[in-house]
Amino acid sequence: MWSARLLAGFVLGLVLAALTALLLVSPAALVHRQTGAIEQLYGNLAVHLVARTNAGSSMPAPAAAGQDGASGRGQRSAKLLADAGRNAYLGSCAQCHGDKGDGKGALGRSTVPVATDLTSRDARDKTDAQLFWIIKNGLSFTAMPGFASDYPDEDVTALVTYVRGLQKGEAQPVVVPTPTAEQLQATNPAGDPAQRGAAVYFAQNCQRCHGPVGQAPEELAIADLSDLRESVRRGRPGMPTYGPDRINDDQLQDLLAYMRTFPSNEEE
Amino acid sequence: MLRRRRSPAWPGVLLGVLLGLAVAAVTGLFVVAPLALVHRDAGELERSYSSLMVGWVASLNAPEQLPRPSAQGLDAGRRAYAETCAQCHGATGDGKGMFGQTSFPPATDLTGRDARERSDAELFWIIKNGLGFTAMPGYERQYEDAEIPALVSYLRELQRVVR
Repeated sequence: MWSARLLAGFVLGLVLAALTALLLVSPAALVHRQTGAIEQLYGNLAVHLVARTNAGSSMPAPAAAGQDGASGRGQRSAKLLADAGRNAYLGSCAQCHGDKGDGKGALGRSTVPVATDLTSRDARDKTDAQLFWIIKNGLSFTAMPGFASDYPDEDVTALVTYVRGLQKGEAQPVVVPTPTAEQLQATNPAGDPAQRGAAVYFAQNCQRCHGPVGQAPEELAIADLSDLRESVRRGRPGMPTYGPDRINDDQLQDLLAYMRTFPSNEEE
Repeated sequence: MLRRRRSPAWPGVLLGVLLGLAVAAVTGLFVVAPLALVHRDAGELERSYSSLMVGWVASLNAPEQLPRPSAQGLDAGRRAYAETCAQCHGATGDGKGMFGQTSFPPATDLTGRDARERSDAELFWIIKNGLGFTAMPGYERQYEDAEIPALVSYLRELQRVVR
């Protein structure tokens, strides 16, 4: 008799908990804005648990260092590896984690949970393999995307190396011009090809590395448009690959039209 | 004596309820939450449920009316969209920007039915406050209240021109 009541109560308790979670906890989570110390601690613990369980014992070693330009993506010099890490960080991480890795990027403090301070003890304590796994797979129900479809493993390895550099204060970020109001104004998905291309350019975050009109320093400058399709579809060291699901062939043509308006590419 | 034979039901049931709640809480904290961190594909049911919750939360919190816009509607909205929204929600609002499909839950397709059905005030609230435990930031630091209505107008424009 007693055990029947206990069981009935137990089931009732589970049902109550499920209803509370579905109808109270999750709406409350959507409006939750301030993270307290306990929550922070618990979040770190959960992430740590998941990363430890899923990460391998080590991250893939960078491809054997070769000469610059030797056989495309396969072999890379130390300089190319460092640049790949720097460029990928600039394009895909800095917006939230900040140029210095302190989590104070433009959007890093505006999401819940906030972007991790990559120079914190918690991030330092993660193994390379754990960071590698987090970057590739992302963390659901946080703002951290998974980059497995954007970058080949060697770029992710280069990224981890760059993050270690940030932690040691040795990384050297590159400064790229930010868009002006006029440049942002020129985007219009229903406009002419160059305006449509501008909308794609900003939506795919090209400006973060290449500058709003392609005038970024050094190899990040967009000077040669002849290999645009190849670069977009197959990526470059530190540059994501964009499949047709993200930039379709029409949009690629629009992009080209926009890039033809860049100061470095205007027809004489 | 008679009363003792028919002892009340509630202590047993109550103990069971407490036990059930405790087991559920521990499971939630140490099983569900870690699983949530690696959860990648949402089924139809999960999508409907989230959309329902977002709609509910937005309608509860949306202001009575929008603040008076500070700038000419579409132009200011277009600039803000290209600068801060497009990287996830995409060039046309379809949710296929650089980070839109690789974060989870993925960026909302702003030209989809759910987004069309949200009122201006609900969109205003979502933009300003963000949505916790999704990748949607709250923009109250970046934009004044009076700047957000222009963004809402631009979203309506995207819904109108982009099919």
